[in-house]
Amino acid sequence: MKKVDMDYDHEIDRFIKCENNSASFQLDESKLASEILIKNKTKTFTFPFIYFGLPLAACLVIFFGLIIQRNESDVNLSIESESVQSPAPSFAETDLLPREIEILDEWLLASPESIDFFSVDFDSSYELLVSLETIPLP
Amino acid sequence: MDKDQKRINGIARGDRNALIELIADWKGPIHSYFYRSLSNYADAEDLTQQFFHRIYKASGSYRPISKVSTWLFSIARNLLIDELKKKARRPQANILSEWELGTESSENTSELQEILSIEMKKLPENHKTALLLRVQQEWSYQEIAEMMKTNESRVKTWIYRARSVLKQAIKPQL
Repeated sequence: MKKVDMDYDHEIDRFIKCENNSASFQLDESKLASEILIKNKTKTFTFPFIYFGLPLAACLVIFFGLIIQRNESDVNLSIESESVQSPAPSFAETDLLPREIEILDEWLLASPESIDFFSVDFDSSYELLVSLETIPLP
Repeated sequence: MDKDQKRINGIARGDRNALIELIADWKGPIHSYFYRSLSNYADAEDLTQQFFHRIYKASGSYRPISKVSTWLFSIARNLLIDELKKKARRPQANILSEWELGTESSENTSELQEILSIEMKKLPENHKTALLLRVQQEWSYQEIAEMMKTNESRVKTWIYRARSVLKQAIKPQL
């Protein structure tokens, strides 16, 4: 039994030591050494570019990207503020004459019931007319 | 300072001859270690070349605290672990290498070796490395434990288990 076990161990050892391996490892050490040295020389040359040039380029891209983004957001903000301001034109921009504005003011002041100006859409001339008709004339 | 330490210091300074000498002395043991770990000749050859590239890069950081052989095989083992992880991520490549193993074995090796190759491939990496360092490189249990950052009794257990698996596999053949 012990002899059989020794045979197994012997076979395993022979296998692990690659004793039966007919193909011996062929590697030209001087060729490999040259390859290693050349490859690392090229890497040394590219070192400053990789470690300094690339991060610098990345920083510049981010910097200009932020500037462009900021400009775009400024433009968007100004467009938005213009569009917010536009629905409330002052009377100065309307086509009404000063005399007509005065008459309108008088009518409104003479009204016994108070009108909820906020619920009325003065942009729509129809609604303005309807609201004016409800005011009893003096 | 032994000759390998001098060579590694030389390599760190860019000495071509020191690199050639180190490759000449260590290509055999390193290739055998990779070959028996991966059961694939071509992969072992590639990994051996990668190993010497890595040695060149790491030569500057070598400190003579441990033996050169321990340092070299630590690097070889790390490379092997990386390779096994890559292979695990590529299951199709594994199937291919098994097929390659089969064709290679039918030409060059006996049926017994083919069985041992297949079983060896199935072993956990630490069991395999411990067994290979013990049998191929003839390291002491203490040296293996130092390199694998474990204790001697665990190394002995790993080697015993690896041997048991291989014996079970070849029992019907002998």
